[in-house]
Amino acid sequence: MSSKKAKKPLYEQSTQFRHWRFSSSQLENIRTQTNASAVERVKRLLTEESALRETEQTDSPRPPPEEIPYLIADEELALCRYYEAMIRNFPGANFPDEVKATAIVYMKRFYLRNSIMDYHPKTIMMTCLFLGAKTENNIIAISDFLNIIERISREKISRDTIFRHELPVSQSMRFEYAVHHPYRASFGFFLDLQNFTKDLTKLKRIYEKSKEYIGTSLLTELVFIYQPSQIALATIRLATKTLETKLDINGYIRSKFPDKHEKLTDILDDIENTLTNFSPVSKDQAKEIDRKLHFCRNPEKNPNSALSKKRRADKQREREVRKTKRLKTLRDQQKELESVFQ
Amino acid sequence: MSHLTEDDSTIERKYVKEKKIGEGTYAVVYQGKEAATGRKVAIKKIKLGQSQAGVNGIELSAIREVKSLQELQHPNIIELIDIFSHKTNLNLVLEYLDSDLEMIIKDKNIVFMSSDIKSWMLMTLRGLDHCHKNWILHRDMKPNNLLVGKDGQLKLADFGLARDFGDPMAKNMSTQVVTRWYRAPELLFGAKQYGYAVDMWSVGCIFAELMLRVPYLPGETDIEQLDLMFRALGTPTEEDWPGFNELTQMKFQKYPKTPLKALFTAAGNDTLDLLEKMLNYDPNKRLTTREALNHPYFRNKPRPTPPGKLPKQEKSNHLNEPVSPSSSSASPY
Repeated sequence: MSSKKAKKPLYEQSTQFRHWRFSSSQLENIRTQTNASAVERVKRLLTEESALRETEQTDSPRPPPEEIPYLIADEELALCRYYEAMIRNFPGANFPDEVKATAIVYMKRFYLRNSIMDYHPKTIMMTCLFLGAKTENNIIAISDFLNIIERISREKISRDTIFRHELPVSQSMRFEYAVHHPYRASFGFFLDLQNFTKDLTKLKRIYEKSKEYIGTSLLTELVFIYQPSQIALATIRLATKTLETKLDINGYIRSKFPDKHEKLTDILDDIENTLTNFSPVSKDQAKEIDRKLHFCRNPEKNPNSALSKKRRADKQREREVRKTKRLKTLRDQQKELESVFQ
Repeated sequence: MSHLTEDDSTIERKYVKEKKIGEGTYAVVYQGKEAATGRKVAIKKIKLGQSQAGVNGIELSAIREVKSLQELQHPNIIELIDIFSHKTNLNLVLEYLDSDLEMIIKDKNIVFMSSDIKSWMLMTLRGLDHCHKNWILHRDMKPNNLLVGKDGQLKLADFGLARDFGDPMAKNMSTQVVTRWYRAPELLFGAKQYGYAVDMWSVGCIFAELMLRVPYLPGETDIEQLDLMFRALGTPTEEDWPGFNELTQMKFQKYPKTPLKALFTAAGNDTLDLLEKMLNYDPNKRLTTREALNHPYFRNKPRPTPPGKLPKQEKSNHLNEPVSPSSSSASPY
């Protein structure tokens, strides 16, 4: 926020600023593309799968691949949002706000490149939370983590499931683990506002409320579109309004940013709009999407699918062919050697 | 959008591994090149979850190193050019530098001028300042981790112990960081809360080593480390370091404070003043990188030698030296 030098601000050197900033329309395009290519791929694989199943004769009849209602981009996004909210409300382990925020951002980044038809958001959610705890210096032992998961979801997850997904998650983020959140900036404004008003109780309430709004901002697109300090300021401004504190926040903003006040107001208005219009994805909505998802998941990712079995068998055969070949070459060489000495 | 679409195998194909140049606890380092340009690179191959049989997934040290280097772009910090994974390995493509400050210090054919030392110090502090500005503690500053390129530029490397330090109240940080000889007194006393000052202590030790041409405080054990420190700089009193008496139950021999001039006979007053302030026992009084860079030492004559004119080794050692797996110090990475 300070303008000491004309040098590029530190934030602009961060990978978050350089690589993870998008406009709303860019985000929409990326998601549409990711979804379209996933649908195409999954359809092809399911066709292969159903062909295999016909020869194999399996029990449960499934709709033919071309008739399956594949998920659209908005549905994918909605289910992701549902699981993002679960991170935010994660009850165990006392993860600080930063860990949860980082995990949510990891999840968002992951699903720009990947489809939930390939990776179920429940698994990715857990992986991101475990990874986020690690990158934010709040490392938790995997066994403790799995115990918490089991306690809250009554589901047993293997450590391998988490470990196996750490790499695809990291890859999809291009290993850019550092994430900047609005929390620090919000705290900065809280400190700075103490020069503006002496009412500390009021400020503390505003600050607490601002953190709540930051939590909400994490469940929206805002983290891709605006800078952490902009989001922080918007949440402070919104908090002063909703708490009816009569703090002259606009006066404060005007005095702090006299030259870019107008442009900043537009930004803050936009953030505020998104926050006040936010509505969480309901459990019913999530269930409905999950039901649809059940029929259009990539069979390659399911170890029990006919396709996976075939892939494994193919690989095994390949290995054996290679092995026989190698043995044969060895035997030939041996023969050749022997013939030299005969 | 190439950033989102380039996949790992595409990146992998851009580089050729040529030969192994070092092996550390969690990584193997290869020399290689970028196929298209012939640019020399170092490829650090990190084995994932192998050492502890996958107790915690991707190693914390790998995560720390990657997380830090991705954010740091500075002429005095090693450049992370690319990163890709292959099966269960993580490969960091780093810029290749064929020498390091430890090799230069040990090479008795090289004579150091005080302007050379000033130049190395300047580059070290600039790199470290950039880390600290980005809330990153290096936590393993030593001559061996300060790589030197053909152009004489010095670069901080090996961020496997680095962690970010946004929260000044961060607790429970490990004290098993920093190679002992360069370890700050608060770490030796097991302080769980410490800060940027631990890196500055290390820089002070490196500064001394550049003048002495041997490690300044080469303790064999943690206790001996403290003893050496107190002999050299005087046993701290409650006045030197408020809170010192509460740090430990141990009783130390009371060594008097001897002027640094007695050991560093050739050094000027500005040099000794800077050194003394870097080696202040009280972490709160120890210089910050900013303060150190603003110290008169860097403005006074002689001017620091331009990097291109710094003395370098006739031939770089580790290209020819066979690398034994046991000596991780043979590799600057």
